[in-house]
Amino acid sequence: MKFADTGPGAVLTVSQLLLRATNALVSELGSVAVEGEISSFHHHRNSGHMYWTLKDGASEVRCVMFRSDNRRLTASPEDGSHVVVVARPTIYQSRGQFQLQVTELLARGHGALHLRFEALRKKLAAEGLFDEEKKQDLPFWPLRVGVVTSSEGAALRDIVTVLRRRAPGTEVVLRAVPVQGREAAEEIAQGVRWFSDHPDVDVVIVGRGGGSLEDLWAFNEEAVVRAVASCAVPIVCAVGHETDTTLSDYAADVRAPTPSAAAERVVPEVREIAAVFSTTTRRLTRALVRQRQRRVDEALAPIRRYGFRRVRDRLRDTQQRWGDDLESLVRPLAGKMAAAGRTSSVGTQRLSRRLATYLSLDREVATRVATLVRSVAVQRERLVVGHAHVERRLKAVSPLAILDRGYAVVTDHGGAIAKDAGAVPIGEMIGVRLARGHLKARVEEKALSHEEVEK
Amino acid sequence: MSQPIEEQLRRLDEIVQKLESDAVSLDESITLFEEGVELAVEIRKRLEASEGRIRKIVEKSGGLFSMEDFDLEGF
Repeated sequence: MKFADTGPGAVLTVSQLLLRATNALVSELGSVAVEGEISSFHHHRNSGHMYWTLKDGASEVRCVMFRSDNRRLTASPEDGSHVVVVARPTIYQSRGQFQLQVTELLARGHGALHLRFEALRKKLAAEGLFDEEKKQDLPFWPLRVGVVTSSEGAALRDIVTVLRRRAPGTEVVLRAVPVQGREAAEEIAQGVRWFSDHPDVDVVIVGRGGGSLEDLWAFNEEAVVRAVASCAVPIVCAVGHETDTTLSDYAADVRAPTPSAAAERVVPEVREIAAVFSTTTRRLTRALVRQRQRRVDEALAPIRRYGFRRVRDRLRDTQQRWGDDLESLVRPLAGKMAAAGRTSSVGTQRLSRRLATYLSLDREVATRVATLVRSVAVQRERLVVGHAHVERRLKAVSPLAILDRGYAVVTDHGGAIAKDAGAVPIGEMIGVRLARGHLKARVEEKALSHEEVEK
Repeated sequence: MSQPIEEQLRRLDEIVQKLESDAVSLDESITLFEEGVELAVEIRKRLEASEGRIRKIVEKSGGLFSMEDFDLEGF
């Protein structure tokens, strides 16, 4: 007998055979859910892996659940329990033994639910119900919160308690629904749709407190998941405890681990906002006082330039008085604003009118003072200019100035100014004063008028 | 209804920053201050809001709904 070296009829090593068989299993079966009873359970102390046999009366199969997978189990499996395993069929290479590599272990009643869960999850995911791009942002600070839950459960009380602690003014609109039982899914879905159709709430919380997988099941029903996914108002889903995840959680805009956590996500901590707010209002009033001071300083700058110290000091006193008034008006503004808020905005208007008066008063006075200062300066200048002019005129009327124009002053021999030719005899010595220097002269001839000449 | 509170808070902060800068005229600063005070009054109203009520949607016959006050202390 002769065997070909390769091809379908080729001789294989044992390892090659097991490898091919494993590949065939993976491509043929993939991941499966298998139901059966546990026996020979063993939790390996060192490796942390779990081993058991799964039987159904006629057949049995070896199972292994690695530590990385069994870490999430909440209870350790026991011999005799009926379970559903989600597993990949493989072949344990070193022994050639067929086995199931288990990734999930569910109590038997849950097995069917789990399969429905997975099937629906895949279907709705394919439709895009869980897409991140479809998620809406939650409002920063909603006035009204819609809640879809039982009116008797702890969830409602938890939600209201947190809302009142963080944002006391928040209004709650409750759509009371049964959250478990036959009617639950349809009622929850209707409740969510109601808020979607009557959007006078800013955000919706849908959920319930903890319970068994069956108790929480309504939130995995298609009607609820679709209602949550298509809710026009931003919606937060909070079902059970941290570890429970439902399809409604995937569909909601935000998933909260518990109802309390949902309330925390929905409203801000108002005390924090209030702290920032009061700092901001203090800054507002301080900034105004500073602005005003700067304007006044600017307007009064000319006074400083001309150095009228007394004027400046007096103005500063006045400014100080006004400033104090203004500050006393503005400082307790936070309180006044609250009062004004309670008694309509009339109070605020009066307040800002007074403020405007103060500020325009400042401005008017500053302008007037500046004008005054300028006019005083102008007068002082005028005085200086005037003085130079007078000096010129005085100079013009001085007798000495006449000499400049060619006149002379004549004195008789006694030194008196000679005004009458008749009083000066011929032959007398006279003095003549010119613009520059003196002359001594003798009278040769004279006339008593300009017409007659006497020899 | 007035603009959302986060918008009011943002605007108030903007006004304060403008007033704190030196780039505004006196008239502008008065206008800004007035707007700031109005905003502050609005915001304070919400900050000081007392306990909000709880109402329950009650279904009436014929697909009609009404709101009823709901007493949480009752359970």
